[in-house]
Amino acid sequence: MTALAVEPRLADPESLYAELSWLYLGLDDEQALALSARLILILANQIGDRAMLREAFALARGESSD
Amino acid sequence: MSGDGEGPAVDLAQSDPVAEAAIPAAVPRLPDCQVAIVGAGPAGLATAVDLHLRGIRQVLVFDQAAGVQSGSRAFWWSRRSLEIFARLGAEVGGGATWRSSHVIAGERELYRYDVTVEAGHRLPPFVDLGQDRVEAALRQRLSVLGAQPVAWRHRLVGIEPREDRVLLAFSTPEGERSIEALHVVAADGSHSAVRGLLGLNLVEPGADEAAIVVDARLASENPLRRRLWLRPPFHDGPAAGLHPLPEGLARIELQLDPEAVPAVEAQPARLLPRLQRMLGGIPEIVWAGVHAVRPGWLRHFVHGRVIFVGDAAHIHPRLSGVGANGGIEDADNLAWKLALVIQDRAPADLLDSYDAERAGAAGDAILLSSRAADFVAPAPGMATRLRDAVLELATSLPFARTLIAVGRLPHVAVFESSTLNGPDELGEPRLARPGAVCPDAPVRLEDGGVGQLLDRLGEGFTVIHFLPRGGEPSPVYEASVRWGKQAVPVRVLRIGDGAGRLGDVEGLVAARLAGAPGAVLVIRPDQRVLARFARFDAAVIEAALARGLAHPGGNPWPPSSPAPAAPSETSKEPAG
Repeated sequence: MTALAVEPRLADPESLYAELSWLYLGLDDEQALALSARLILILANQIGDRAMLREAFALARGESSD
Repeated sequence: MSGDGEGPAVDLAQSDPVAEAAIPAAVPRLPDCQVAIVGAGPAGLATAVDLHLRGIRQVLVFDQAAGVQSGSRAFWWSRRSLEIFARLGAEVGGGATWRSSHVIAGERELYRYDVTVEAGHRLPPFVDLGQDRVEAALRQRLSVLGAQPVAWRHRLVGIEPREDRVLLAFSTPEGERSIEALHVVAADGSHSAVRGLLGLNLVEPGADEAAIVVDARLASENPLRRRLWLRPPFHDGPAAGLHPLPEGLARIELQLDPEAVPAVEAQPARLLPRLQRMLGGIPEIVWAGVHAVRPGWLRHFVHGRVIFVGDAAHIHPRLSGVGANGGIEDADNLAWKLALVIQDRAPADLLDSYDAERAGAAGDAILLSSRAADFVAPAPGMATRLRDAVLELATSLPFARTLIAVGRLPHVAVFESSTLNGPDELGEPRLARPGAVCPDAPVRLEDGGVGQLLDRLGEGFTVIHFLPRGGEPSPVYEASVRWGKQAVPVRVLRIGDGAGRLGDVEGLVAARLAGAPGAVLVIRPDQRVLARFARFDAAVIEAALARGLAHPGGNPWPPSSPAPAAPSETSKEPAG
């Protein structure tokens, strides 16, 4: 039973992609990593559900989900 | 053979080697003591005092140092340790309690923690006080109890466990000295000779940590404020701390990077500029040193007749708050069990619970404080960036503050899965569940004065009974009389109004222990809750006591089996 949603949930996904890229515009690698770390924490807190987060971690690691 | 007879303790300084040589070889040598404690630090001294109080008086304490050590070393003592010192009768006083703790990242205050002092507690939540002061109080208590003083300059060079005793060999300025003991308590610290000689290694070692440690006199410091820096601007290590001590002193800690060489960084040419930048001036330095730690613990604390306490058993990350306090809790857990085993009032299996309870607590504590250590000094790479992200976000986002793993006070371990634990028929409050320390609360005494519940607990087991409506049933009285006469006495404390009862001042006893009328709590000799029942049933309580003593078969007071030979106090004749 998967908690994490992998079907499309974003309205206007293409513009979301652009917005994400703009986040990093003008940042060097160090600044980009620092920003990514902050974003991970903020979004993790929003998701809240640990089971869901663990599925997200596994997915990011490249492991298959059941 | 009981170990609690009256009479002078064996004075080894008076023993006559010529007379000993004249004893025929066929007569086995009597042990020199019931317990030999190797190491006169807080854990070893607390164990010695507690054993004396429990009737084990042939206790010898050895230490390799030339004499009393100065220096504050461990300086943070939890309320639980203060409760234990009070129970031991050690007058540990003069500590300082800071009111607020500030975590500072770079130059910006990140997080502030204020100490809340709950009403109805006699003792503060903790004190800052040098280890030397605690050791002095414990040695003083030993002296008042008529114990042998610490045998200084005794360096352990050999240990040989046998089936019925342990042989120890010490190197002293006067030559080699051999000691035989029924049991050995290894309290000889992080570089334990006992551990080394027995070939025991620590498991799951954590990352090495080192810090320069300075006790200084500061003219203008706020004694009520503790400060912890992450990424301090005045020092190129990962962290620094400023902890108030009593009498105008402060403890300064400068944590070093793993690559730094402690001896180099502690040189005045390196140290003083850091202090200058940190404090705006060079303070009067009372003591300075380097403290290096490699965390880890023994998988088992009990090895036959050799039992490990304190740093000899478990080494914690720095500033965990559970290093020295863990050693005091070890002594508190061990002494009553070891005394009963020596007195043949409990099976040797009871010591297995010391192993399970304290090794479990040590492992849990090291895991938690390793997380804090990883937060203070994260691995390079993304771990550092995530940690720095927490620091950035914590100033403005509440959720990020909860991710800060430092600056909080440690908790006392609860032995939730101890094999000694009995049933919990009440369930609430969690604070007083089996395995937890019995909460303290003010009580009204018979003379109308106010005392503390923990002071009224028996030295053995205690049954706390909240009087039911309609008064005390006669089986309670009958049981209390019978139990008071047993070899392992049980004291019944009645909570309620009227003669022979402890009054519940402000309802705090009921609130903290779950005092529904008729409720019963069974308390161990180390003040931990063993079981909770909804009503008084003597047979059920006795079953819980038996389990608490590791007696198979449900009888807390089975007939004794023949006791092992123990040293006679007045003659060399075999005793028992």
